[in-house]
Amino acid sequence: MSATYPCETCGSDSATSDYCDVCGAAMIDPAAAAAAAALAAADATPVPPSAGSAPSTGAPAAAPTDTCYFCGAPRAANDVFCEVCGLDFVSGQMPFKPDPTPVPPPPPPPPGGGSAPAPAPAPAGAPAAAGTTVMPVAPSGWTAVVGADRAFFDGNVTAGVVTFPDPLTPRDIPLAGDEVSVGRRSESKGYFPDIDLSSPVDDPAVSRRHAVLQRQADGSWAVIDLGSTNGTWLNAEDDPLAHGVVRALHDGDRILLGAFTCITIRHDAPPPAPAPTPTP
Amino acid sequence: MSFSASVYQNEFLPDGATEVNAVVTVTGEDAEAGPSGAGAEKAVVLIVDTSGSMEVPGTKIRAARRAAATAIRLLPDGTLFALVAGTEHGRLAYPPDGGLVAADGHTRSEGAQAAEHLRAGGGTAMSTWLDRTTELLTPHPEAIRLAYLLTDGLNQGETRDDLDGGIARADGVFQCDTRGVGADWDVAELRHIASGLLGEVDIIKQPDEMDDDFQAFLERALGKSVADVRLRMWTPKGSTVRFVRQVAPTVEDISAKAVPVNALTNDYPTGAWSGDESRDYHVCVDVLPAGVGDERLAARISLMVGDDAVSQGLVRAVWTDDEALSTRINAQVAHYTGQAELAQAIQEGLQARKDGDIDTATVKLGRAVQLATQSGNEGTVKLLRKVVEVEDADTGTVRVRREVDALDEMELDTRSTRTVRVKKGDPPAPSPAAQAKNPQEEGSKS
Repeated sequence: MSATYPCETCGSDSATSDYCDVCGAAMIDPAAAAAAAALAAADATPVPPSAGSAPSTGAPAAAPTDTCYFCGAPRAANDVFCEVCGLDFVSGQMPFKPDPTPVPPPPPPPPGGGSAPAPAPAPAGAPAAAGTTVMPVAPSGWTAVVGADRAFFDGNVTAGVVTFPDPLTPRDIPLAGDEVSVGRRSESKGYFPDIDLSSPVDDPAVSRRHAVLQRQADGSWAVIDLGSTNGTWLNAEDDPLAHGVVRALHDGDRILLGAFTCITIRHDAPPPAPAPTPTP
Repeated sequence: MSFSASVYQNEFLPDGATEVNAVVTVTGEDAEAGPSGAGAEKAVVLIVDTSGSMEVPGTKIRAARRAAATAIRLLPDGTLFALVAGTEHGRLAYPPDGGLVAADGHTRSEGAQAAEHLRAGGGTAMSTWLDRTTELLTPHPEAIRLAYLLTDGLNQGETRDDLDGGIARADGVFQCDTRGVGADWDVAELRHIASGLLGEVDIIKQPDEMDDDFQAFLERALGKSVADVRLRMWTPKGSTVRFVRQVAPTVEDISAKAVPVNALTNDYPTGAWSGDESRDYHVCVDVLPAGVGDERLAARISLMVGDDAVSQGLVRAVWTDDEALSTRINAQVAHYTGQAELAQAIQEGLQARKDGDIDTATVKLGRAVQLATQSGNEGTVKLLRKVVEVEDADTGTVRVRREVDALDEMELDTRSTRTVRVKKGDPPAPSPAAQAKNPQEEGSKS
């Protein structure tokens, strides 16, 4: 036998390093633990320098290395983020912990949920009041409208398990910056996607790091599935998007994911001059 | 040929719970030539019942002659083959002097002629047919070895123990599909042989359907490209495997086929695979309970080709006090639990009908209609409708038909184990449901 790994739970020497091959307990890889500890020590820095220098434009850098280029932990070729430090290989961003105040609580659902179009919590270009998840860059003239699609939901096997969020007021999320992450928030892992599908309505079939919308050189946007478990569909295509493949988006395109989520892409051409708009 | 495995489960268990369920989808992909299955050598034995009953009516033996001859003429060059004629002995009808021959222009023509001269007369002792086939195929361990057994009647010439002996000797040497023609054979008997030898049972309702069925068998056989694939399952110390069940394309409990590798690991043979094949397995394991927040591996499932693990899936258990997590039922697990119950309900319902217990038959077959309808198993719904009148499919309200064609009943029985995969979306929807929807905690690594 070659290397063995001591199991802290049952005390046996396991030949496998992920789970103990006797009792099945999840094992902690000593190298990974050391790397994680080192990362915790450096946690005060909001953005690690190496992440800052990571490519932030262009195609997702499929780093040809077999180790994480931040913490050096081993990685598999198709990993989309580092299992040790959490570095997102696609966006080059760290899931750094936010400042003490976590994400503001979702706005209360419209009382009664009647047919009146409730004012969408649209941070229309202007920085939102709460100082946390602000998009630092001006909007691009493109908007993601997050809603739910009944036909998609009905065609999914989760129809009996998850309930359709009815009524669901569509949310407008202006696309800004170079990348907009799509997923579900994890406070324990310090991961806060730009388009958070865990609230105000939770779609449990969306992966934490499900997809990313990426600004293209010509100013348009593209979608990339990050290796999500349940897949991402574009419009009425039969097959889900292949993982890691960049697909261009056009005005009116519909991105379907999870149990019911539908993200409609809207291009408000021409690019908006920040004219004074009446506040709702 | 490469394999991939995906695991569908809800890994979250409430405090104190021990039962872990998961569906493992195994898909073989031939990077080369698709379903042609080039490469591996194939050895095929056709076993044709030539007992006296095949003459009654004579259309059966005539159809069998023609179908076997056609199949032999279609064999590609180099395929090893033989033809066994079954009575109370398993007689080697071709080649004349023992051992398999490789197909070429000459042997195909001789073999086809031998098939055309098959004559019916004598009894039925199927273990002798299997033994003859075992003898023919044993010298070719490197080949993918498949047999096709066609009969029209009961295994009257010997005891069940004799038959079981023949199955045991053939086990591990070849895989065998079984076919019953007409309505005078016993579904349970042929299913017993097919299950024992990793094959499938089916009915040929009319003799003139034999040609197509022989050819379909050949196509499947020639498409196989990897022999002797095994599912290797490790489970932790102190755990119990409740069952390992193939659930797609058919339901087949393979728990009893476990071959121990070491104290914690068993191999389950799955036979030969073709390059475009996908099968689903439902595993259920009882593990020792752990504390809230703990994570344990409940099973490590590897696909073995020879001594190489070609793909692996992990079944996990994570204990939580969050009921929202632990009460979710994974859609794949729920679906295949239903499909297994469907097969059982049909078989029990038909048995009750045979026994004259119409009340039980009505309840069981009603439940079957309900399950088949809900899961979109339309093939089975169609077969069920020939045996029961459906009043309300959603509630499973049915009336058992007074007059049922024996062939229809047997068809329903033989095909009761066929499952459908998790329901696809309707055409207008972008049909993403082919994918498993797996409510999850940490998604992107699966």
